[in-house]
Formats: sequence, structure tokens, C-alpha cells
Amino acid sequence: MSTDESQNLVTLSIDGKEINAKGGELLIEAAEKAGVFIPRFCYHNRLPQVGMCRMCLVEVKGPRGFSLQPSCYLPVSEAMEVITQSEKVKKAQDGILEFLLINHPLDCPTCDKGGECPLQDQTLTYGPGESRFAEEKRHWEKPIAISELVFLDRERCIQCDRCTRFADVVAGDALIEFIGRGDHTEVNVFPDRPFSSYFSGNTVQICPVGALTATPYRFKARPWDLSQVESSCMACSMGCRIMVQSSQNGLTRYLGLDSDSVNHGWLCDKGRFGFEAVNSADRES
Amino acid sequence: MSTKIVTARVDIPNSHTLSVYLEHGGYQSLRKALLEMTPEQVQEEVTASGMLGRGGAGFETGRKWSMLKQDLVRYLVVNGDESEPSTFKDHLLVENDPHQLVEGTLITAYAIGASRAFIYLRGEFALGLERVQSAINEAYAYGAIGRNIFGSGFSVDLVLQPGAGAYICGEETALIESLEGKRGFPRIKPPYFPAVIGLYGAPTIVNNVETMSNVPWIVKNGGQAFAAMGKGRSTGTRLFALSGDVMRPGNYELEMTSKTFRELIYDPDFGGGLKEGRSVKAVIPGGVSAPWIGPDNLDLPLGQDEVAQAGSMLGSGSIIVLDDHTCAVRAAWRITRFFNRESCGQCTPCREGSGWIEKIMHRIELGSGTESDLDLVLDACDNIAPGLTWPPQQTTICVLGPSIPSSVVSAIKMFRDEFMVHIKEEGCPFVH
Ligand SMILES: Cc1cc2nc3c(=O)[nH]c(=O)nc-3n(C[C@H](O)[C@H](O)[C@H](O)COP(=O)(O)O)c2cc1C
Ligand code: SF4
Ligand code: SF4
Ligand code: FES
Repeated sequence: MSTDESQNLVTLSIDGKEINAKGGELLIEAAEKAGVFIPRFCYHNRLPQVGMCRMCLVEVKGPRGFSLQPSCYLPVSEAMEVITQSEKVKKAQDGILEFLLINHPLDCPTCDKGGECPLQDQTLTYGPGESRFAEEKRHWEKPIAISELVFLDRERCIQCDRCTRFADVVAGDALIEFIGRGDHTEVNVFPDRPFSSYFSGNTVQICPVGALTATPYRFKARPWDLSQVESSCMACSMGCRIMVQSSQNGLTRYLGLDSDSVNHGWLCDKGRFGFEAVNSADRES
Repeated sequence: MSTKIVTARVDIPNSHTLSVYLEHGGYQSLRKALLEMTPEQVQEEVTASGMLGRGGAGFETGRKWSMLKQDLVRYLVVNGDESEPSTFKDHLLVENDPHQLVEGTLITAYAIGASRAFIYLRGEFALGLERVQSAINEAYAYGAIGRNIFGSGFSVDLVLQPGAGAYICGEETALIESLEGKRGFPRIKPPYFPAVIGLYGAPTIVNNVETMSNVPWIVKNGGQAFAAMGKGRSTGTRLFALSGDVMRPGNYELEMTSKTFRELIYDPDFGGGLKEGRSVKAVIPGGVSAPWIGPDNLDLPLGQDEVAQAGSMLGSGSIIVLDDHTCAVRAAWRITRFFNRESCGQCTPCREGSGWIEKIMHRIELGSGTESDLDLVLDACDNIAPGLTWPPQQTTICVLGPSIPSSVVSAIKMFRDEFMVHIKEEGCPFVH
């Protein structure tokens, strides 16, 4: 994409409404700015897009008429015609949600992600009330420790590639990967090589379900019980933006906040988990 | 006797060796192309031949080559991953005429200006890998590969890469990822056609083994001679891999459209008919990705458009015959199981849908299905290939996804009664 093109404004229509967007901008982002939210799981604004979960399918007009296209992968272009609200789109999105849920354990009551889980939220908003899946669900040993800090529950994983993409592309530590094929595709570490990345905690933050959890927060609190305040990390001089969360008068979790000029939402593990020192009984002051 | 192109030499003893290949006119086409023709002239002959790609999608080869972006570095990749159940035609060509494949590959590299070509061969082809590698070694020693080939000034290197056991690596963009050393995940298209962005980001042509094996003949005899065989868009010959319930399964090279399904199946020189007293129940005409056709279509000529008009595809040219002793439910279940095992796991509908459909089909086959399961299966299929049309639409990244419904939907449409017997009698009525 040339820089010229990306600076140009283009006009496209979404559900019959004309909107302007930056040429080259992703359709899912342009739509959101125009007030049209398209559901998504694998899309992450700070990662290269992979179009894998297929939740964001919308109808886009091409040379052979309208077809379903992933809006997280498609850049907008002049005179593009998009439909996000048709029967066809709805059926496709319902279908994806159902496919994601058939093997999902639905153990929300005991899942740390419950209450802040996009899969749970979208299921409650759009999902069917009853399951049509009568078969035995896929089983994995759950959870397994993939490092000293991170636990992986492969039954909850929706194979969105966020953690693996982050580890490879952002952190440069491609220590977790997809293994296997078909509905036995799993995220895992390589034999004898733990996920010992200085940035492993970010994968826990961006996992859209409770498949990745970090030891310091596991079973400590419920998202709706947390108080939170924005702050800066003090572990080093970078000044990454963080959300400091606490429960019952104790620190429970730091989350990275997306600050364009500083940390893009990422934190190193030292910054993210260093708060444990504050709560520690061994503190002298 | 109809003309044989790609299998002309396969029955000669030691047909895989350079000496036998040279005795039978080997590498003359490469000499002709390099010394007497420009790359454009070679391309023109291939375009004039009208040859459709033999890998499955049936795209015109000349047109594909003309779409190649003219960057400084261009690659040629030969697709020999052949892993679809019932497709075994390339298998014969790599084992019994590897030099023909190498020669076609070299001519193509010259025509498209590739400085490096790769042959990606299915990892399980132990003998094929050995023979193609020794053909490459012999061709290097003979001066047909390497620097300044036959003094023409053209140089190219040819590398053999074994696959690692994934059907999906036959899909051209997954194959490219695999060649790059990555997991075989198909790339999202559009916008990235390999001819624009392919191997290592460079423009790349991907062609099938049989497609490449036709090229020496086309250069020798001219594109017109090739186009004179067959009818309409179906030019030249095709190597049909016939299997299933026939007396003489095997590879048969036939001039396109010259024979019908019935002739291929019943002619004593080809399929030799079915077992005594049996009749054709269904035919899967283009590999297990293709929808089934019924016995009412047996008089269709073996041509690209003819089969497409009947609602299926000639695909990879493999033809499976199911006779009336074969259980349609079981056949469709087994095919679904294959796709589930081979789905790359990348996109939700294919990864999860294939497993779900496989489980329901298996349950029906074992006798614990219900009538509402049929609608459920069809609806799950619809969520992979919306509308269940042919050619299909898809909610998935690549066309492995919409291949899953092909057999299931065909079986339910054509043999609903048989499903009902499984459900009512709580078991499979067939002996197997
Ligand atoms: C799931 C899948 C598997 C495929 N497997 C093969 C294969 O084994 N061999 C092959 O030549 N083409 C295969 N293809 C087709 C290739 O993507 C591609 O169209 C072909 O190699 C192009 O060569 P051609 O133009 O000479 O036919 C496959 C496609 C899909 C979607
Ligand atoms: S573990 Fe989480 S982030 Fe990683 S692929 Fe699974 S769902 Fe996505
Ligand atoms: S359709 Fe299936 S094989 Fe193709 S990319 Fe999606 S998951 Fe992989
Ligand atoms: S959000 Fe677009 S495919 Fe996942």
C-alpha cells in the first residue's frame, strides 16, 4: 500500500450509509468509527491481522456480487459497498459462534475470565439459548503450566492466534505455537522449552477467553469486584501506562494500557507482576 | 489407440533413468526451447495449447503465467503434494518418468524467467523422492540444470523439497508457507495470489506435476497439436486415476472428452466393469472434494465443462466408483473424517465444523442418529458453505472448508432413504 493511498480519504457505504475513511484502513476499524460494531475474536489492533476466527464476516460487493469477507483483513477502498446487517451475515456469525462453542467447556463459573470474556459476552448478546451439539466435547488435560507464570487451558482455547502471534511478532519469542490439525489443533510449547519470555503476561491479557491465566491472579478476584485506577509502571524508566486493579484492599492485577507513544498496551513481566512485592509479607517498609 | 502424452514412456523398463529418457527423445524440447525459442514464444505455445492446470482448480496455464508480476526475482514451484484420497496420478509420473517432470519444469522456468524452481513432493512418496532426486542429479551432470544450460545463457537451479505429511500443503499458498519453513496455513486471498506475492514474497507460479509433464510435448509438437485433442476448454489428454468398485482400478491417460464415464468404467481396456451383478450407485468425479454424480450421468464425456454442468468438477481427475453394495452414509462419513483430520485448524468453520459433522455422520452410521440430525448436518454444512451452492461460497479461508459439505450433502440428497434405514433400523444395513 502506498503512503499516498493511505492518506487519501475514501467514501464507502456501510448498510446503505455513506461514510468516509482513510484509504487502506481496515474495514472493521472504519466501521467501528462510524458507529457500526462488527463482532470479532482474533482481530487485535496492535497485531498483524490473520482473519482466522471468521467472526467478523460481512458482505462485501466484488466483481461477482456480494460475498462474505473478513472485515478485519480487508482494507477499505473507494466506493466499497458493505452490508453488516443482512440475514446472510447474521447466519454466518451465528454459525461461527456456535462452532466456537461446541467444544468450549462453558466452565464460566470457575473461569477467571468470566465477566470480562468476549466469548461469554457475545454468546449472551447474540448466541442461541440451547446447544445443538450432542456429542462428547474435546478433552485436554487442564490446565497445564507452560511456564512458571502462565497456565494454559486448551479446552477453553478458541485458536485465535493472538498469543502465538504476539509471542512471535511482538515479543520475538516464538516459544508457543499451534500443534496438530483439525479440531485437535492446540496451542502448546515445544518439548523441554517452556514459555520463558519476559513478555509472557501480555498473552494472558489479550487472550479473548480464559485459556491463558497467570499465577498471581488465578482465582484471586472477579472482574466486577475490582477497583481500578490508571497509573504508570514504576519498574523502570519507560513509564508504561498501566491499569492498577485491586480487590479487598490488596493489589490484584496490573493491565497494560494502550498508549500510542509508550507501550501499545504491552508490559514486561517484571512490570506486570512486580506488584506482588507490594503485597508481600516479607516487605521491610 | 489414442495419443499418450504424459504416460508415453511409463511402461518402458528403467524409464526413470536418464539414458532411457534420452533414447526416447528426452531433453530435446528443452534444447529447442532454450536454443530456438524466446521465453515469450514458449509461453505462446502453452497459451495456444489451452491446457488447463491438472492440480484441481483447472485454471488455464498460459493465462496463469501471463499474470506473473515481472519482478526481478521470480520462482517456479511444482506441486507434487498429491494427498487427496483416490488421487494417485502424479505418483505414477514422479516414479516412472521423473525426467519428463524435470524437463517440463526447466522449460517452464525459462518461459517465466524463474532463476530457481522447487519441486514439492509428498513426503510419503519414498520411491518418487528418490527417483526425482536422482533425475535432478543426472540432469545437473548432463548440463540440463545449472549455469548456462546447453550454452544458451539461461541458468536455473532446481530443488526438491519433501512434504511433511499434510494434505493441506497441496493448497498452493499453504505449500508456499511450508516451503518457507512455516506451518502449512493457507494464506488469505484476495489480495495475495502467488503470481503477485508468492514464495519469500516474490512472484511465484505454482503448477501441478501433470501440468509440468505436458510441457515438453507441447514444445515439441506445438500448442495447436495439443489443442486439437479434446473439445472446448478441455484440450489435450488427462491422466484419470480410477478407483473404487471397478475390476481394474488404475491410471488411464485419455484424450479429454473422448470417452464417457461409462466407457472408462466398463471398457475392458480401462475399468473393466464392476463385480458380477453389481451396478453403479454413484461416482465421485474429481477427488473427494467433489460432489457426487448419479448413474444418470454415466454418459457424460470426461471433460471440464461437461462435469461442471452436472454440478460437480473434474478436479484432480480422480474418479471413484461406488457400487450398490457400498453404504453411502459410511462413504460420506469416511470422507468427512479425512477432511477433519486434514483441516489445518486455522479457521473456525472448517476446524470445528468438520469435527462436528464427522461425529454426527459417524453416529448415524452406527445407528444412533435421528431424522433431525440430517437437518442439523445440512445446516452445519450451510455454515461452512452458505447456500450449499456449486461452485460453493465459503465462510472459510481456503476451499478445503467447502469441500467438507460436498460428499455429505450429495449423500443426503441422493440417498436420504438409506439414511432413514440407518436411523429406523438403528444400524448400517450393509455388510462391511
Ligand atoms: C486442500 C487443497 C489441496 C490441494 N492439493 C493439491 C495437490 O496435492 N496437488 C496439486 O497439484 N494441487 C493441489 N491443489 C490445488 C492447488 O492449490 C493449485 O491450484 C494447483 O497446484 C495449481 O496447479 P495447476 O494450475 O497446474 O493445476 C489443492 C488445493 C486445495 C484447496
Ligand atoms: S490461548 Fe487464548 S490467545 Fe492463545 S489462541 Fe487460544 S484463545 Fe487465542
Ligand atoms: S478452510 Fe480449513 S484448511 Fe482451509 S484455511 Fe480454513 S481451517 Fe485451514
Ligand atoms: S476478527 Fe476477523 S477473522 Fe477474526
